[in-house]
Amino acid sequence: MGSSELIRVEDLEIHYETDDGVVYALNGVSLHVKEGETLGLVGETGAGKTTLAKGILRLIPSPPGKIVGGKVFFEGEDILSYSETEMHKIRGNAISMVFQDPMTSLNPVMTVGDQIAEVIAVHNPDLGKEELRERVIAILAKVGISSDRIDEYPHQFSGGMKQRVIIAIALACNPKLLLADEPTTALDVTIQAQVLDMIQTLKKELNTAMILISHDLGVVAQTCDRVAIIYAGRIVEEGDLRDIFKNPRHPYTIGLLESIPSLTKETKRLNPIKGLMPDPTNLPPGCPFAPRCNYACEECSKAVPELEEVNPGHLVRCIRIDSVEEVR
Amino acid sequence: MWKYILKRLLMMIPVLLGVTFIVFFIMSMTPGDPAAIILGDQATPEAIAQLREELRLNDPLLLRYVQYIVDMLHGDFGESYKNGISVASQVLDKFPNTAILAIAGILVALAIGIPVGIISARKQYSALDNVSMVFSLIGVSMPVFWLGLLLSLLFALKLGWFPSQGMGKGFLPLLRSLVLPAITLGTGSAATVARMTRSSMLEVIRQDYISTARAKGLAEKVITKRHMFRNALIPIVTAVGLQFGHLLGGAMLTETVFSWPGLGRLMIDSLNSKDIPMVLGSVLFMTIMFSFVNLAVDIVYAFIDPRIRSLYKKAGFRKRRAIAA
Repeated sequence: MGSSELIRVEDLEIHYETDDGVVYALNGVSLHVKEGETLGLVGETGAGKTTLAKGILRLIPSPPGKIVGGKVFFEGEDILSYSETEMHKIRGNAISMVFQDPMTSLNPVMTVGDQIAEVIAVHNPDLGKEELRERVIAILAKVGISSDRIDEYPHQFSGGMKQRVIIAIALACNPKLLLADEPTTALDVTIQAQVLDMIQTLKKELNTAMILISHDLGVVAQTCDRVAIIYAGRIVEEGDLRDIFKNPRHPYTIGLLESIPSLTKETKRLNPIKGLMPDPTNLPPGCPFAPRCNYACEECSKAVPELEEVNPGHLVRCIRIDSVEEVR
Repeated sequence: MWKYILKRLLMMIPVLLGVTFIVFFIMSMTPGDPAAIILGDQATPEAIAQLREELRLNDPLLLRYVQYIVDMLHGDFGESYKNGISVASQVLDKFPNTAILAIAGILVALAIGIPVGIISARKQYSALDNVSMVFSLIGVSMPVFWLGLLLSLLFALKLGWFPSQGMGKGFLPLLRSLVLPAITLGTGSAATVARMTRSSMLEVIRQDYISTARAKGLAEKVITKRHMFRNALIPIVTAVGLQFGHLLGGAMLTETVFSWPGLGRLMIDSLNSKDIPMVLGSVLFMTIMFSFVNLAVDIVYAFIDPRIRSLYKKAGFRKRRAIAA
């Protein structure tokens, strides 16, 4: 690929300060995405995936959310230091986001055409009414919706069609980065494939980079160039698609991959990772995965391991990688 | 839509029958003989007996009720026991005064309630929110006549800015005489509207489509107006409609405190003199007004929410399927 770096997140830390204590949602996440590249962000519910995406756009509801530390460089500029007004120009324009649930992500009392036109108009204030409508029709055509539905309301659309509208809103201003937060989770499997294909095609056409958030490794394997595995608010392993799927090193990643039923081998039972993710208000002092890990030793529960490069571009946060290798 | 409106109008018939029956029944249960009240203390028993015969008060209750309904269907709402003037003309005579006061009151309520509710919701748990919610609690629980008396003590008697009694003739005097009763009437409604606006806005603020709107890069003001408020409107319209229905029926306390010549006072006076046809006529009129306001509110829903609109329309196949889904 060799293109230049588009976004770099450094040590991003986000907490939610609630009455029941501080929720440590993100604890120093670093990652980067190059132009046109797709990064898959994989983790279980509550790992901090959505918080990361919303944090990049500074859409964390505050209170209770709070960006405690870190930097987000977008095209070299630290957008965490931007004012709210400067962020308005970035959101929906340079960076846009697709949310998880298409059923609730559209305003029920506005026509879909108006909802798409709105984002174009706010970032292109000079456009006239006619041009605006033309652009809406063009983007609708791109996501496969015929122009005669432009004046219909969201309740007249099916779930898959609504997600197409949401993607149209996100791509309407040709963003450089698309944050897709589980864009297909709420959809039927057949529709999932359609929507994913569509995102892929449009992404290539517009040369948009994407962070695809998912808990579905199958979806990630289909779409992504690189993968980052996130656990309890930290990246535990990051690498090329091939690194992660063919040569996983972190016990959590290994566990995730082993819990997928294989089509080629005969499996009687699924092999899930036992236990639950630690309570984010009360994280253990050491490796957060240690209590569930088959390879954990005493050392693991003492300090959080550093993210270390095992191969060029392949980072793992585990002190036991060598013994993990031996056992396997 | 027209079919729906017609259906709603037809549904008013049993409501009106029920209301008239209950009022009729209660009025005849209460102590005091209308004939004796009409004729006064000096009346001879013979005169009272004669008048009772004339007014057909000796007939059985049900028979009188049926007679009343039959007359009503002929457009005859009877004459006042007190002055012999037709009930319908008196009610219609007072109604514009009440309507003026009700509209002014509801405008005050909207002008205060909606902005306060929106700001409270946008800044939930802030000092501003707490202060305005305390005030709205006071507004809801404060007796109307007490507020009316306090206002007229200060602004009419002490400062002399506005008249304390009656309804001015001509545009400007009318406006001046309207200020105090409208504020008195509007304060309670404003508090209700503010609380309803706040809770309805808070519900909308947490919706996913608000996140979508933020992710588009819209300014908060635009999000509040275009995305939050329109979605929060339905419960607000309901609350405002109910308040307005009440006000249109005549605000008895406010009208009494400020000697406003409206329906509320007409009704109080007729209750005191046991003027049964008058009471029945005004209650009937209030019920009709209330039903019409409710119907209007339901029609407004359809304008606000396309999902409700599509239920009224003769839905095509695709739309019906979408509704069912």
